[in-house]
Amino acid sequence: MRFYILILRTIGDAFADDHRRLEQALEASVAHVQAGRWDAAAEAFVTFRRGIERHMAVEEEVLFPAVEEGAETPLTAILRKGHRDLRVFFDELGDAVEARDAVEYGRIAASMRALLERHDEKEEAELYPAAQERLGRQTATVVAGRLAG
Amino acid sequence: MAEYRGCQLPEDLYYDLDYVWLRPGNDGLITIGVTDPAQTMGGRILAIHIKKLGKAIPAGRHVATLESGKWVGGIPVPFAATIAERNEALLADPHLVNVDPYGAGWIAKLRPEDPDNALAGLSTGKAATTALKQWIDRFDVECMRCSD
Repeated sequence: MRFYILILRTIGDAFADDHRRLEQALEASVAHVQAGRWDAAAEAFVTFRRGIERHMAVEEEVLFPAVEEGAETPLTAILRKGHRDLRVFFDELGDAVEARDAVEYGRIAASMRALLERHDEKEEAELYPAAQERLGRQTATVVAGRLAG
Repeated sequence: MAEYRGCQLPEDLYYDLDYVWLRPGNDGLITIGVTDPAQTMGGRILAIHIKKLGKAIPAGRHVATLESGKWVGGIPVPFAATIAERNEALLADPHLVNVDPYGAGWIAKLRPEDPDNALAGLSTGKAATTALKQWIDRFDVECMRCSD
């Protein structure tokens, strides 16, 4: 007889872990830029961007609608706007790595780090608990699994 | 000037209906700044970075980034342009954005790549006021103006 262990994760745990992983990916790209390792920097930036786009897509497609229940709320409005603003910064980071401009990359990364910090705090304090409550534990585990791709 | 929930909304300006207002000048340059509701939502601005004079900005990219205690944001340019002038006073006193967003708090003057169509996708007049009121409601903003 086989026993399967299903690990049920909360939305908050899974998405907060992903925030930390993405912060590390961003810092890895900054470290490569500072060391002038441009090919590695470009690769690290792509890894970061792919990961954060997936993270935001799951939030936009699953968590926001779960919290909204048909009508946008001030919380989801501000978080959607945050995602839109962040994507412009991602494009600018891409421009900077392509232009091999370490000063610009560092400056944009610093602004983005500050923006992400505030954005992530809001999600962890308000969005994830609300989504967890509406989605239930088992669905939350499936949603969290989507972060892994 | 229209006013809604304490927010001033000049009808003679052009808006991207998000953060930004634009004012075309007689010299072919277009001044860009942050709206009253946007500066309120951002909070007291503590730091600003404006890109270098002469820098070409593709449409949608930031001309500047602002930082307050609770917010960091970029100021997007709605059309491709070159930075012709920066408001140097803001670098010394970023709080001017809060005190006088449509006047002394202007951010930069831009030379559009395509002057004839630069303002084509923007909103002005009563249509802009109506849309901005919706923006204010969407983000639940009550404007307040800092006096110093």
